[in-house]
Amino acid sequence: MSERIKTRVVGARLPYVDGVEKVVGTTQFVGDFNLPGVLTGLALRSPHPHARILRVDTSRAESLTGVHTVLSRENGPAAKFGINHQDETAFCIDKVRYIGDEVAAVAAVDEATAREALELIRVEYELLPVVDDPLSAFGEGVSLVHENVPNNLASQFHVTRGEVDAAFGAADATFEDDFHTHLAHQAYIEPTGCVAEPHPDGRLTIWGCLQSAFIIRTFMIAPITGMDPDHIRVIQTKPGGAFGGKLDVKAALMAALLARAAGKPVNFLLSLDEDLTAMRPRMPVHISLQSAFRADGKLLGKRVNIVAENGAYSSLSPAIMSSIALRTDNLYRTPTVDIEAKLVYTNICPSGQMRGFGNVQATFAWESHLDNAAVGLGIDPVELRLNNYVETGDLTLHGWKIASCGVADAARYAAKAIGWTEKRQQGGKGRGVGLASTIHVSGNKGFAVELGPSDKEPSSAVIRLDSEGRAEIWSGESDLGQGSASVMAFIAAEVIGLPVEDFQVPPTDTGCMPFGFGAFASRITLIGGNAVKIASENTRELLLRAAADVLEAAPEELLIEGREISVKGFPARKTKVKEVIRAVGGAIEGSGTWYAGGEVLDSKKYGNPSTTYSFSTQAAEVEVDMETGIVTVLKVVAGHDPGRVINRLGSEGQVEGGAVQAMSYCLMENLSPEKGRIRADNFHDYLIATSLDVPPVEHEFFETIDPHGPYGAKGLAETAINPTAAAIGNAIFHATGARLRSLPFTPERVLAAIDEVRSGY
Amino acid sequence: MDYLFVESVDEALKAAQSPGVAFLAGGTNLVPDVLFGRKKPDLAVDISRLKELRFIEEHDGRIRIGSLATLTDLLESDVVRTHALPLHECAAEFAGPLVRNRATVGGNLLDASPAADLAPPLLALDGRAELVSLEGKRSLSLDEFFLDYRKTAIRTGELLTAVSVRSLEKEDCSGYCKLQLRRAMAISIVSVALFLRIRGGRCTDVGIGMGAAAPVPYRSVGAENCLRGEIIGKEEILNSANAAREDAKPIDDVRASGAYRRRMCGVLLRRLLQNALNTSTGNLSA
Amino acid sequence: MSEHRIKLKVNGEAESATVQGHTTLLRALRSMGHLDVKSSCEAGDCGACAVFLDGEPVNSCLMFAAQANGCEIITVRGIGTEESLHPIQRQIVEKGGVQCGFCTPGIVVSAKALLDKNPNPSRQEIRRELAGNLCRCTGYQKIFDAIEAAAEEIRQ
Repeated sequence: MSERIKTRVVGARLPYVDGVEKVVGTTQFVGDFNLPGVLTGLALRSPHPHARILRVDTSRAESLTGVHTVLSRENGPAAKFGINHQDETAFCIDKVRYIGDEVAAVAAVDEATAREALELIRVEYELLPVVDDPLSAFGEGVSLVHENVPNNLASQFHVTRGEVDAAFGAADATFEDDFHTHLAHQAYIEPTGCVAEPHPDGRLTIWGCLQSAFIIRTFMIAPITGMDPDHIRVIQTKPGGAFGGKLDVKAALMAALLARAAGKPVNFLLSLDEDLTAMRPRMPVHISLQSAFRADGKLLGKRVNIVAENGAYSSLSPAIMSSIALRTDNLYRTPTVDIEAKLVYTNICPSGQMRGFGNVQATFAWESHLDNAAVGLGIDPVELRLNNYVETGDLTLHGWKIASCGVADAARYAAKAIGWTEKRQQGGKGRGVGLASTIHVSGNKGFAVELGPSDKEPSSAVIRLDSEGRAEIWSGESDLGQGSASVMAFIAAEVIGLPVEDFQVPPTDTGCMPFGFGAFASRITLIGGNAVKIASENTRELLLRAAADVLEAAPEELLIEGREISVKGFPARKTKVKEVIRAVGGAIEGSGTWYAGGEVLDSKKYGNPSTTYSFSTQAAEVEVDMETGIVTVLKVVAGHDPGRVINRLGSEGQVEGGAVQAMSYCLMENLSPEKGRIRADNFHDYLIATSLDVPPVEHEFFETIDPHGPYGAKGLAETAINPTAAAIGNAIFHATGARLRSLPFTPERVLAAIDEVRSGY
Repeated sequence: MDYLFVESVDEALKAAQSPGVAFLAGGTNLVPDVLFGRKKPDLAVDISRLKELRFIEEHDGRIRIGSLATLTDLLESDVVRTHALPLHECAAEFAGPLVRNRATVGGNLLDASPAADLAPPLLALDGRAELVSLEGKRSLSLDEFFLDYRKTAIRTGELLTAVSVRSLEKEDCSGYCKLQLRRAMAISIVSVALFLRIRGGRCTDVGIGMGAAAPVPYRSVGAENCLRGEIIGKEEILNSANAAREDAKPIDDVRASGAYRRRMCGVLLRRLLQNALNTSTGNLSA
Repeated sequence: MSEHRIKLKVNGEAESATVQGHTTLLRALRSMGHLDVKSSCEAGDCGACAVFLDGEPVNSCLMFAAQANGCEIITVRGIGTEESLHPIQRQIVEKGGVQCGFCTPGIVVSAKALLDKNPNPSRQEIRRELAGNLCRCTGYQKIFDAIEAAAEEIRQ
């Protein structure tokens, strides 16, 4: 643990720096733009999960009055792209591979005309067999989603560490479980959208609710349009929620292509049903686990077999599958492991990332399995974990370097706060408690190098003080509503010494802001925060040097307090910050760059992918109606190790919001796919938690003061959501004796599981 | 779509003479149906401000509720709460406050969803529908109102003006239960409403309304017959619950399977009966 | 396709617009410049579009604009602006009851409706009154805290 530096602003209970605009409705979301002459862009989406395209005739649509452009395979770009595999094109060329796949797009004067144009596009399809079950999708004679990918295997790997068979042979007890997680959506309240505006000089501006403006610019728009990335200006609009779903955003490409073809600005905004059915939801996965233990509870080895559902295109799935396969091995001291993972194409929307990046699914499986092992070993589940957790300084079997770790303290807190000892005596009568832990990355080097400008992961920030002494922080790292702008403002205010209320953090603009990868992998507090800290130090230095001239003192002799600078010990020798800035021309700009730690994994997936790691342990208490199967979560307690809390209100909000999202995911959310068709395409069939569904969420933060993070801080957002589903599942088991291995825990499934227990299966 | 605002029932009826006309009340079903292209009326006749159809009154042992009474009106009505408790409890769990402020009794019934929330309590309480047309008035029992999946007995050119239910006496028992996948804003998996009259230790009258358990909302006659005229004990309750299961014709859908729904018909009714009798007489031999 | 000229009062100002028969009130308000009314599900499921209509909070997506002729509408900006925040708005910021902010305008409307009729609500009453407003970010806790604090501030 590094030293805990005393701070004024960092860690204090302060509101978001951009809260006021949100409560008065002035935040400009992407749907609030109204550029002069803007056209409405809409996509014609495949109505079939799998079909060959025989003919596309857009002529009638093109001649409809008010239609400016119609794009399809006939005139659209054919270049392939994709974050991990280049397996998609802007418009379907020979086949449609999921219901929602973009076959064509139109831009017209208004929505009614655009919709009419879509109706006029004639497409002839030849239906093909639907591949909808990843378990049976590879093998002889199965219909191929991509003709060039045999067995529908988008990717696979096999990794072994240590002598797994020997470990199982020597074990006192072995356990086995198969789990399945379902297709679930990020369900942000703001549907996704982008606006694109072409300029007479050939440049393009795109606005959108994007998690990473730079990734969209560089890996999607530039390669497909053939444009110089620097001629594409991507400006983030504040997302109305994202949770992973607004990273790989095809709407940006659609808007860009339509705007360039039409020569006019285009709004490409999805309706909610489009978003729920044709975006990139959380990856469904089958996880088979085996574990080997010594009688005293020491974990000896694991076998992991994963079949992950890719959907129609790979998007981020290979990386997500890696995450599922490896992460939980680094939470406990795991001497040996054998991992087989297969990523299978199916005819449904591409699996994308959702808060957790696979770790929700992996943690659900492993932490449920660990509970079963505890029962089998006759050891209390908390004790079993405490005996196996990694600790600060560990090097895990996959090469992860644990620089700080508070998971054990978090576990002891969670158990105490839920009333573990007393309540564990009362199982089987419809009330129960359960617990689960997680480890998560703060950034991911391999991903960054794959997508980035170099083999390094730089994050830069510029801080600009204006002539009034107010500050703007410019960073490529984006706030999605999770409060990272406030994290940056608090760090900057802490370092520079100016009042927090004088700091603003406008959304990322690639046209004028320095590079940052964007919001994913819980990287912003650590990586963006460090960049801002360095930029703040630089800005402070420049300010003090300018003030030194004005006050005729040395910079080291000066004090910044409020909006004034004075000479230490001589309070009468002072000046206003704005006077100093005006003296140097009206603006001061400081900058800084931080390079993230971590390394690219080798071909056996060995290495330290992230600068450092965050942890949490959560416990849940549930009540189960034993006759209807309805589960009520009475309480969640969350112990977190975020290194150091910077944005206190924000951190609490992340924990409360994340736990509720996880509860909602495991109890009531389901896109309910059937033969490639998503049946829950609105908010009365796709159910998320309402105000009447939420339990109180208590929390405590264990500040391990990580050596790498700003003031010791690490990420938090994903540790908040990873363990809750397992904690709830474990609590249901305690309450009923029924172990549920498939998500979601619908009342019907819970009741069926209770029936099985009662009938002695 | 054309839109016409009318200021009287008579004007509404005259405007509704052509086909392709939809009455617009709260709009909570019609407006999204039109926006999403599920319905394409040529003309929406806006009856939403016809004050004469928005009332709740009691006399002669019945409560009359105007078809434009909103769910909030139902929820806030003392008459409904004291004399038609299942209806009050149903209104309390209906959607959410924003929707309740606009959704109307008539709209919910005429949408004719098998899961129409108001139907089970109205059926259980001997509900009747009052309809008016240029030809005159008619009324019918709600038993006869739901004909088939999304089809009611209303004729073209007719307006549903009111429903009425029996007014419960102090000694009457009742109950309501809605099974749903979350605690608000959710379509029922199954819903059950109960009315029970015990006089001299014997059940003299009973009404059991079922929702989301068949293509139409219905009264579980089989379940009622197990109770009517009986001294209700453990056995009668179980028989009634069994009959409720048998009467049901539920489907499989995204929310639940038919088998689960059927089972829940029995569980919910059994619980309502046990609760109702425990609270009233306190001496149920269950 | 019929066109209708409608006259409304929005946040105290007389306004008029020409709408088609099928135009929803939500879409009309936004095209009239009231972008503080948010659009999401357009089916009454999420509450993002909530406004006061003649004193009652409703989903503006569930009405045709023509139905609102002659009505008085209050949106979140009619409840409070940057220059003069309503206690509900101020407390939502103070207590951390806002993250992405997309659901917030609708939540402010529902919260105001609650406190107007019940100045001292219990936490359960707050939960019930917000049941038609979906929030995906906060888990609702800090929104409840904010409304409790606002109620107390108003009572003083």
